[in-house]
Amino acid sequence: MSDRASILNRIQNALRTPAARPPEPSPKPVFPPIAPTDLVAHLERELLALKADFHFSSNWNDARQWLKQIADQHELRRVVTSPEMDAVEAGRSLGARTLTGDGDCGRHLADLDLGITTCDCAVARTGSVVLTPQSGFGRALSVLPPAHLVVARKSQVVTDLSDAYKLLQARHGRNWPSMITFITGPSRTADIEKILVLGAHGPKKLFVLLLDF
Amino acid sequence: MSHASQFEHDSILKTVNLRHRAILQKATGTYDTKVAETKAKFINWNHGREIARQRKWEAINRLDFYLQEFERSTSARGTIVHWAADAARANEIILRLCKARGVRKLVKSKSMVTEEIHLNEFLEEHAITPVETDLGEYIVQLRHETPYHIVTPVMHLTKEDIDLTFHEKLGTPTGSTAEGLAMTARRVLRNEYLTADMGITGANFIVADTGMISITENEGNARLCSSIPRIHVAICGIEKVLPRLDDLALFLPMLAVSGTGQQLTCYNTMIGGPRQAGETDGPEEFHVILLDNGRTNLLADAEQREALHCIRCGACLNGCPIFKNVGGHAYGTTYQGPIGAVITPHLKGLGEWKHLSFASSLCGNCTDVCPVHIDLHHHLLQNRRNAVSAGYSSWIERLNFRMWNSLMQNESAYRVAVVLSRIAQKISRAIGLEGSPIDPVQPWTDKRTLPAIADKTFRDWWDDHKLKMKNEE
Ligand code: SF4
Repeated sequence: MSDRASILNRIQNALRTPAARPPEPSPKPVFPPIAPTDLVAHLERELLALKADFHFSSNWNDARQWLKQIADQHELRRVVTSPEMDAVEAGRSLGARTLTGDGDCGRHLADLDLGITTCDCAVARTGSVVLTPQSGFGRALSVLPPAHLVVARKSQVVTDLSDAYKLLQARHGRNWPSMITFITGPSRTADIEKILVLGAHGPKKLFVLLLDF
Repeated sequence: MSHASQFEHDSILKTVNLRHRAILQKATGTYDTKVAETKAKFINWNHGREIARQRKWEAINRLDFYLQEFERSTSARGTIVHWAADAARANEIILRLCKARGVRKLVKSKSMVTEEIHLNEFLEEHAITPVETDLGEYIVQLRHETPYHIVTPVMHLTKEDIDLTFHEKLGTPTGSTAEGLAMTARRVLRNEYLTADMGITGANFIVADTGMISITENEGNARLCSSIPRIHVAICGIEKVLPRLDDLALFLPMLAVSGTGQQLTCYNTMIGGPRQAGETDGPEEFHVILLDNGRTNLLADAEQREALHCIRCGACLNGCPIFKNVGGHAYGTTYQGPIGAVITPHLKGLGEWKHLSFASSLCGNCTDVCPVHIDLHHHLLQNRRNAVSAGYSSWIERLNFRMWNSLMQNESAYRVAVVLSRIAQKISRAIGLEGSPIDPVQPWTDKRTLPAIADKTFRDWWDDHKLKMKNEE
């Protein structure tokens, strides 16, 4: 018998004896509500608590100023961007090279200062940005370079993880991408004496630029 | 030495080691503070636990259905699903794959299942180099140790210990800060991702409906292991299943809170296939190995089946008074603490591993802190009962309990025994026998202080008291 058949067989035999079902929980909410007007502020608070950088812009001029400032401050010289419109526009002020996806992703992104992507949505509750290979332009761009800039729209901010999953289901449910990642702050470790260190293996810096116009 | 004697030996050494205790207290203290902070962000943590328990019950009690659903939906995207009945089979599958694809070096992210099947040793025997990339696991690998804790592999080490390890193994100068050490690991491992032929990860969850695995991590190493090398292999215990993708909306925060006291762990990544048409990078092949290795034994025990609901958050370890004294290595198992004590007898044999279920104060804190509300301390009791009824207790223990049993059922015999014990204790104390090597109860009093047997039993006191009350009326 193959391992598959024998494992399934063992499972079916085991389950012949039923286990007591735990009591049905009531449909009470688990998390407190967030007012829709408070979403962006909540997202910002969470991101700052996670030691990410956040900026809210209502026009490109303002956004560009902020981008120049962070580029100077963190010496972001070798910059690449995904070819999506908002990312390209943000990258323009940093002299970013636009990726084509033709053999210039994956391990080719090792020697850079910053990668720019968009996202599928952002979760206010947890301060997360949600990326797929579409919005993140593959898997490596948002994790291999030492800094990551996410350009998002205000309309992309949702309250909870479950809202994010609903949105993903609606957008990709017929044809799921090979990966979905919820990024919650810059890469970190506390393995050594529980001391927080940023930039363990992924980006040390995470910038979130939220556009509203 | 038997596992039980080894456990006793190692626990005694650790318990008297005050440095060890101080390190552990600091780590669990920091953890407790952070957990309390993030739990407060739930309006109803306990309610979340009950929902989580229900979801896992649903998954485990229809495990065959959900595993096949997972297999079907992930295969449709080109994932290759393997089934492994035991450790040897899982290792063999990986070795065959390595040989067929010419893999000489692979990068690994943290996975307790690969510890369980001793994958690293196996690969090294076959001239394939596995490189651990999680910082904690990397340190463990450099030191040739086993992980001390399922979530925090180097909880037992100080910064100075790790500094010294890096100095000896990597030739770095001593005196680094925690940040310096982490950056050394980052630098060294960066090159490994770029040159490895395969990435191996575990999985925190298997999502049945959409055919994905979900990996939770803080460092980004699992994302790199599953992005850069041309082959990605995920090894998962079959119990990791959740029915629906949306279930993660509850389980990811619960795992984060209970695991590290974070609201959400830095990276939660769902992977459902190799690079798809239209995607710009990612591995060409994605393999999932579904591992049984004794889990179906636990499944067959309806009374303890819910131990398969475990999401390996480590909360029951951090909250266990035994763990806090004996530490993770004393257990001698892949899974330490209360959950380890419950499941190891099912995975590796009750006769050899029953002692862990006896090493408990039964305080019940493990059950209280468990995010999926597994009734851990009662399962410890069930293991004890099963060990006795399977005849794994010694004849002297059986004799003692038989005597105790008849004594407790015979009032006059019990009264006589109390009087005799009181006298015996007085004599023993007077002549200095108590605690000496020839004291018959020395094995017990060795580590505990026996209180003096009261001069009056509660019953006598009660009778006198009633009399007094009546006289006063
Ligand atoms: S038994 Fe519960 S508390 Fe212990 S590791 Fe598993 S999920 Fe966490």
